[in-house]
Amino acid sequence: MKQKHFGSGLRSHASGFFARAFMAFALGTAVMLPREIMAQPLSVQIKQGNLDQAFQQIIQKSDIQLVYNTHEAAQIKCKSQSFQNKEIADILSILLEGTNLTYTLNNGIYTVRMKQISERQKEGYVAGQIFDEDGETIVGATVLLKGTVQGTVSDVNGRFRMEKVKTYGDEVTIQISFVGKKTIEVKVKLNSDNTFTLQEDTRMMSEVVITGYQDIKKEKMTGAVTTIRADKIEERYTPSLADNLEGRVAGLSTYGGKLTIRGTSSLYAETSPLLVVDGLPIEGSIDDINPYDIASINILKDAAATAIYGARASNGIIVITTKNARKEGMVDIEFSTNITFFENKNMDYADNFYMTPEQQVNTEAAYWDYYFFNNDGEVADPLSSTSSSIESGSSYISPIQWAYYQHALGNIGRETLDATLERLKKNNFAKEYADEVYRRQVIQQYNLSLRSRSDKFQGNLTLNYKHDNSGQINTFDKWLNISYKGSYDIAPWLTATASINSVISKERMPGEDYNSSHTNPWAVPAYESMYNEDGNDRPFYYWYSGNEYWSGKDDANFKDLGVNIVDEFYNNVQNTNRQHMRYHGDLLFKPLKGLTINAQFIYETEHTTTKWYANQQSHVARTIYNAYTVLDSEGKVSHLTPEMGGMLRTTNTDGSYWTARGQVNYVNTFGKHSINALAGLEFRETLYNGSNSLALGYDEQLQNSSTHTVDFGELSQMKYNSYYMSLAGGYPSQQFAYNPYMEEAMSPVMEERHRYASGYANLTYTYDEKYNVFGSFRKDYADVYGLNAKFRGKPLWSVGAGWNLHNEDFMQQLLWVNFLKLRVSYGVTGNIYQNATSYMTATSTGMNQYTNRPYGEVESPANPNLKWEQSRTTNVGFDFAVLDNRFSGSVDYYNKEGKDIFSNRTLDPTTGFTSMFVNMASMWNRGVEITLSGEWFRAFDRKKFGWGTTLTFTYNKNKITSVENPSTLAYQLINNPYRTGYPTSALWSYRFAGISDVEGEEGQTLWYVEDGGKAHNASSKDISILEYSGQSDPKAIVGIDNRFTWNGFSLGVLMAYYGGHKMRALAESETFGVPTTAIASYFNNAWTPENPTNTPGIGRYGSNSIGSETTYSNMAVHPADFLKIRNIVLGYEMSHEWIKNLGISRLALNFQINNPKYLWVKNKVGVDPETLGIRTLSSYVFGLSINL
Amino acid sequence: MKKLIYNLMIAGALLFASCSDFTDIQPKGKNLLSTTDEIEMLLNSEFYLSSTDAQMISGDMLTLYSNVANEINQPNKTRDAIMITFDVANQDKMAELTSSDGEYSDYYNIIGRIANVVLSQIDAASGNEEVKNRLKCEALVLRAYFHYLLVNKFAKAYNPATAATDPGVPYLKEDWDIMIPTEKETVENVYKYILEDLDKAIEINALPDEAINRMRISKPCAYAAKALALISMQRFDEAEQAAQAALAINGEVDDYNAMTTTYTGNIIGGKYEVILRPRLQCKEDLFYTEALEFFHAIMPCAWDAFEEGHASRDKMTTDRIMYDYMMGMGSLMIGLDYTFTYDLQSGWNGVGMKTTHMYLVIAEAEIRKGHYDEAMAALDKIRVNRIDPDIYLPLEGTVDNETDAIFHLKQTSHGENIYSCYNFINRKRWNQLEEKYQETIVRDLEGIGTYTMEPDSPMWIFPFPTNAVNNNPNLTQNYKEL
Repeated sequence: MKQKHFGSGLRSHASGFFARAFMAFALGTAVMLPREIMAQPLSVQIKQGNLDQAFQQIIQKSDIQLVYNTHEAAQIKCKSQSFQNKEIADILSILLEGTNLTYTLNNGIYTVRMKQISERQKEGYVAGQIFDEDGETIVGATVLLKGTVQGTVSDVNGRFRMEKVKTYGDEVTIQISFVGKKTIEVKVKLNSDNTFTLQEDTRMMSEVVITGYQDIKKEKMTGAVTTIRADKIEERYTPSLADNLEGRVAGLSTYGGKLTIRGTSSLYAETSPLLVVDGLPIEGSIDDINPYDIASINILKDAAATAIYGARASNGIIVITTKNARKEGMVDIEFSTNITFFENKNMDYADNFYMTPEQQVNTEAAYWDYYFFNNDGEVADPLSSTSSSIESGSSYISPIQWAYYQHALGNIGRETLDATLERLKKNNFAKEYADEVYRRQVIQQYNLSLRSRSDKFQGNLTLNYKHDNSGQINTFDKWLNISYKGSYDIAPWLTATASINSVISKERMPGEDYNSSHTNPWAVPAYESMYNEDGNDRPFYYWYSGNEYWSGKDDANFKDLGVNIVDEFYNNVQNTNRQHMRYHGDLLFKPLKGLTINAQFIYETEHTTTKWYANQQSHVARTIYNAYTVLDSEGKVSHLTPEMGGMLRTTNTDGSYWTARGQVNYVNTFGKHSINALAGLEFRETLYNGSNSLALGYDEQLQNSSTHTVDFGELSQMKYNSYYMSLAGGYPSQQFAYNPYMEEAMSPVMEERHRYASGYANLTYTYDEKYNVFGSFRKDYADVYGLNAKFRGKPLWSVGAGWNLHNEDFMQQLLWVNFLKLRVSYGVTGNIYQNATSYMTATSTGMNQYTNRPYGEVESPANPNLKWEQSRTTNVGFDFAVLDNRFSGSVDYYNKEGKDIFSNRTLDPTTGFTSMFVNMASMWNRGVEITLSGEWFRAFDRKKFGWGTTLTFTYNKNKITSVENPSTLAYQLINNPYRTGYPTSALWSYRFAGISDVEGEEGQTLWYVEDGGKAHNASSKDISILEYSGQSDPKAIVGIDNRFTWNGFSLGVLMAYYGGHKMRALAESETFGVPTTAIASYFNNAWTPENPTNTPGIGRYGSNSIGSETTYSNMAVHPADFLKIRNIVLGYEMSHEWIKNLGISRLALNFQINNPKYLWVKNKVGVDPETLGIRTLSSYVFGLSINL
Repeated sequence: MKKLIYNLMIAGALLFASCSDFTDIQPKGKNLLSTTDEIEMLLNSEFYLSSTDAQMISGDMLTLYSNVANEINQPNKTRDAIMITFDVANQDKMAELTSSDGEYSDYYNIIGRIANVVLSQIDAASGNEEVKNRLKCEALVLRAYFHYLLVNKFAKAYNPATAATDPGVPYLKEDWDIMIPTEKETVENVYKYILEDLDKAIEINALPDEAINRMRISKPCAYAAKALALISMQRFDEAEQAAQAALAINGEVDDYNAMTTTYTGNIIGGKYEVILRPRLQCKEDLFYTEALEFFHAIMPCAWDAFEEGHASRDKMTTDRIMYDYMMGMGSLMIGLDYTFTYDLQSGWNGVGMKTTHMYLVIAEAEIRKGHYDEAMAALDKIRVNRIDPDIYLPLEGTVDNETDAIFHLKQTSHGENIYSCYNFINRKRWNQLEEKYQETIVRDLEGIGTYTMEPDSPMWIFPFPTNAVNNNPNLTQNYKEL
């Protein structure tokens, strides 16, 4: 019965040209057909599209005959709407509303034709040029006069001109659209020439999620994923990519430099997310990713999104995709630079929570006054004790102690003593130190990208260079990243992609020194000076380095161990050279429609050479020289290490990691059924090894050494028998020289090799673009030694479902809803603890220090039941976009249950073991994640004001539901804080019980112990004496990002809130006597019998037994909540008009302020919770970005 | 179709099998215990073992670092306070305060992580039979010896009349599944197993006369451990035989009078001749364990109980020598002016076996037979190397009665064992003998109080630590089960 109307019927079969020719004929012609059609009510669901499609639907659903110009109708947009039992005439009226078309009914045939043009209309032209955000012209953009079929397209220069535009007023509204760009509607004056900028369309419907295994439309995705695009990342500059993600991804925490997604899900195994670059997991660090070369970042959070990664998925996945050339036939050159200037370090003693020089002089003077003159018999013989401590050479002697000593000996009078004190009060060591050692920290980063694309080939070359002067003399960090990515369509069915990424970095920093604290300005009293009175540099005598007044200082048999602070930065240097290479190859076969086969291989190498060179003048070399001195039988002093040269320690490490993957993808749609499936195999190996070497008597200039003359066997056995510093009971050569400088340099770097193999598959099925179901399955193998085959291949799986509500019929009336999707998923992902083995093994590197024989120690009993840790995640969430996509967001709730978590099982020590690693702990993480974006003002073009806000809210609650902790003593629980019913980041504290006034322990802290008692030493009491002080991981994280744009200017302000957690800060630790370093300012309020405060005593009331209790005191626990502005970015993008003649398509300038002073902190002690001390340094960034 | 599915299944199985093979690699940097060399590494353990509990309870030493009067007078009893005052009434409190016991875990560590691992792995390991047998013998001797030390600390001393029912300690063998709670054996059974292990080691006869170093077990160790076990069991003649078998291989006693060095005082730089008992070098050490004899206060009665001219007292490095005899640390540290040991250089072999133990076994056995000359001759073997040559006189031929003989035995034993756990073991053992051997320990803390411990006091039995008791319901406290 149904007869196809020729207009519509032919269009679907005929070629473009024929269709157009026919339609021109068809327009306005009444086609007579001998059929009488009664007016009939009709129910029809019109989909979003154009009028042509709408008419087609009507024709299919009814028997009416409709004549219209398909070409014109196809150019008129039509909203989705549904009609229930409506008359055809009404339906047509509604559809034609706002257009310049009307219809007539004649002989049962509906004819759609143009309205009559009114005489009062004006006529003119509209012209303009269209650009994208980068300032590139857009070719082929559609320009349509709103409500008409009159339109044109932009030419190769992005220009268009529309003549004969008719309007009643002075203005017309035009719509400009282009694939992948947001359509804009602009009112323009008749007879005017304008410029228009189209922005990238980032609406949810068009968003594609990249999971690393497949690219899938957000509409088909059932998992919880956050996608961040390049334009977002480029809004602000951060040297590290991890910092850039802060505040953008609900559920992700960068707190304390620890990157986690959805909380901590393991106790002993890895807790940081897996990093995937261009489809394959990499071993390299997130800091090695060039932040300028990122096209998108997808953060996979729930099981449906991550389960395909199987045993490595428990901690979430970060999938990074690098940029590709976008335009065909053009070379894309992009240059960016950012220079960051840090404010100078605040070296003020009080601001850093230290006593000022004056306070320190007064505190110390009071002590020595007591010590020498008013000691009430508490100091038996101050003069001979002082003399022996000076002569032992093992400790620093302060100028105040020396002056009092001289006064006590009668060598100087009170006036001279007082004058000395006054002089010292005027010094300011930290200020002098900063002037000599610190420089303004400047980080420069430059990036150059060259991209090109033809129809078969595209290539990308990126160079990135970063230089950080580290804010300190002879210290720097340089980083060069070169990458090339090319892809080539060899045949219609084969695409090959290859990329090479190389990171070369050089870092210089001061070499370690066991007992010289020249890198720490606070290691010296505040009243000290870098200079002698004559203005020359003053050497400092640290621990076991002699002192200024020591008679042994000038012994010609030894070298003076005084440290010239500035020289030491040049004498003892550690250089680290690192080279990280990543080779990535990818072959994509497309044998059949919808079917692709993918073979990928990634190979990474990482080579690091660390050279630690302490030259002959360094404190290290002089210490070694003195530490190995013997008196031979003839009473002659001789040295067991070379007379000349210094120490060179070299460590080389190599990592090589590869992953190979073969995968089959199938994507197809059959009517309303759409499937997206994949299956594959993956193999992976990581190998890490290296070597150490030691040279003594090494000279960098001469390139010689005399290591072979040294008898290390003898050196290793020398403990207190060096001839040096004999009055100190013998120089502790092993502690001060052998252990810190030689021992490790002579031991191997342990090789570590791991292998993984996996098979996996997943399937997404979508019905009618409305309903998605998803399932994934993966089986993992790893080289856990002796792991029972039964547990090795335990499958990990997930299922998910999604419902695209916006595509439902009943939602069609809700025109303000653009996107609404409900998601629910459940799945099991894994994690493995590589240090456990199923068989009994022993350590292999022990050396019995008494017999010098190698020994091994059995670490853990055999555990044949080892298996994967499991995370079972349930996720419920929805994504939405409303009011023309002005407001959008996602809300997710998850419950992540960790099972079979590796933990200690307490064993009866009768077995020989106190604990063993078993899969027996469990925990959960529950949380809510909300992302909301709003465009308060939408800028259709450059000149308009725009304001958008993005808010991310993360709430995570973490609780261990079962764990055995073998700790029996308080200090053990503090080191191993896991207990059932508490979070993984639990803080355990000693309970402060005041300051003792009992004779013999006056001024010392007391702690509550068992049975309500108080004791000074509590660390080896039962764990029941400790109190729970809260968790150190934040419970709530909020990021608020506001961005304003106007006339090329942009202003971005990112705020971050962290809350619900606790910190330990400004712990009031005890001291013996008076410290010979800068003194913590809380001692200004120290306990004395006259002023019995809660702060430990100093000087006379100093401690005689210092424990760790004060560090873990409940008094040192403070709320760590804070609200900070992370950065304020002011940008300006030059108008394309101004720069196009320079051959520049885009030029943007940025100025950014990082870390201005915090807005609010909850703690009352004035501490920045992120540094636990003085606030983070602010920095200022100047940025420039040019596209050619 | 069926065939296709079948083929796919086979292909799938092969793929997963290849995954399994691919990941089957041995970790480096781990001792896999699969060769005799690898297993032997376990036996090179450092054996750093202290014996402070034994030294404290035997009445010889105070091994705490706080003011003794304060410690004792606190309303809340501490473990040290209970031990110092022999406070039987608070023994339950002491058990509660013993959250872990270093000796308990160290000794069972040696048994569970060294001896039993060697015994369970050695047969399957690659390597030659001779070495396997040697390692097996070493493991058997270690297992027997450390059980001997454990049963002496945590159970009643062997009493032939009651040993069959006296509760002892678990005897851990290599086939015990550690996931099953261990069970206490009777004292008799513990000794039975000790002798079985030692006899087996002697029977296999693969131990060298002298080991590669003194931290390793040699043939005389097997006999020495047997002699110690047998004398505890009051099987004196057999003990003597075993002791002689040990001494037949190594009968040396080092001369402390000759092993000296010069110590320079810290205040005025005075020079003092002190003993330097070099680690691992003393021939008399059959099995050497390390520990520092450092900062332990010697009770005045223990000081006085030394024989005159004994090098271990008169030439011991102490805090007083350090301060040129001008002062001591005692008053400051513990509120009592006692002498502190301060020997950072020597190795006193606090928990190991020495030839001198064998001479003491022989002396005791000979006294029992009434052969006083033979007994004194055995003591002289030790004394001649300990007593200042200027005042040394042999005992042989001077003693004709049991009382004197026992006195000399005890005095020699005291001087020989004060820096070890053996004064505790011997005194506890003697308390099971006739009254003339028994001792009531009297601790007289001047100005604080006098405390005594009777021969049958349950204080001789140390409580099992709570980390063991809490994880093993079978470990009921022995001191309550007398």
